[in-house]
Amino acid sequence: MPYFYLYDSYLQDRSYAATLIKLETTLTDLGIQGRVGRLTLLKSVKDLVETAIHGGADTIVAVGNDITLSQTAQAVIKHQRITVGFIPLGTQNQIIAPLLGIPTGILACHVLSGRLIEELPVGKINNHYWLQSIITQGLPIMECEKSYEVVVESPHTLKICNLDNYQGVGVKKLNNKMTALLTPTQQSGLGWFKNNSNATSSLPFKELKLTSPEEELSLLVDNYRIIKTPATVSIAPQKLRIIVGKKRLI
Amino acid sequence: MFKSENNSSAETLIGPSVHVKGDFKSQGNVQIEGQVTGTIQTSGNLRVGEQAVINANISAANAYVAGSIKGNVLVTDKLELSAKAKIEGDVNTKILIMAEGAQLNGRCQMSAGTNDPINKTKKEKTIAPQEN
Repeated sequence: MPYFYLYDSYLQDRSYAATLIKLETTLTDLGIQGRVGRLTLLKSVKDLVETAIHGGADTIVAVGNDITLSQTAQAVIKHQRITVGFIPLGTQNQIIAPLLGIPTGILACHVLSGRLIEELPVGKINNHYWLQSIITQGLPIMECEKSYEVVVESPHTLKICNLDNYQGVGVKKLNNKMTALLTPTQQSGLGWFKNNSNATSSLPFKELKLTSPEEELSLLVDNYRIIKTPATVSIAPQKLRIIVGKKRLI
Repeated sequence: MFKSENNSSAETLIGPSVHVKGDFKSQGNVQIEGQVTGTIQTSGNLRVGEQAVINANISAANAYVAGSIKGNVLVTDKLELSAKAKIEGDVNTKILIMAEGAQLNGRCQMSAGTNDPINKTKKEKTIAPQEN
């Protein structure tokens, strides 16, 4: 099983040096060591993953946070029979790891060596893949399944979830469907926007077209990429093979 | 019972600030607190909240209604109307429970599945132009 480890650029910080040494020792002890690629300004995830697969790797392990995993998933999803692993390091953007039952840090190596594999759905927005969520604020118009339209009169926060914690509503596993959560945004006296979670609408869907009656909306995809409306959100035909822990919530 | 189930049991929840227009279909439980115009079809249970305003023909396995519905209602098993429920349209169900104060303005047939009020309305609409 040739493994390839993809380190996020923020792991170059000195504070992670000791952890990475421990990590590599543990991986060697478990017999799952492999080549390492480091993200830099000049090396993209896509380049590293393509080179690794061309070199014979069949398991690509994202070492970093949710964004690292999402970028890796996008690069891997086009290739069949490639498995993705995840070693979460650091404290920021770590929502997916608990959902997959993967502990943060060195302990994740044991989950990796367990090789318990699940096939997860991946989303598509226009021609791009996404893994976690899409978030926007404003007056979105959603045309669902080409049969009905969802309209709001006041500003709302729209969160489309695939692999996310549903903002406290709880994790729901739906068969081949994603969930759109619409929450009214109330403007308080100081001009801050607050979400009224009691009035949250929850709509499962397979295909959704997003538009806006006025100016185009910015959609934050997987917490790092912006795409403007109009956009079509759907479920990709491919599934992501990913190594999960026994305590997974999905 | 569906009546006592909380929000999280519904696969689809249409909140009070949302307006759904068109043909809405679902396989699971549906809770409506907002507005719906068009048709609603679910093979699961339907709960219509007090604030809900529905202008649609409805088809569901079980239904609990506390809001306002303008349209025909087909329920294959049990239809429960609370004291604040208001239906303007024909109802077809196997079991009907009506609280004191509930309003039902339309025909009521207690044989769910034999006559489909939704398809009946559609047929009438498609046949009408040919007759003219």
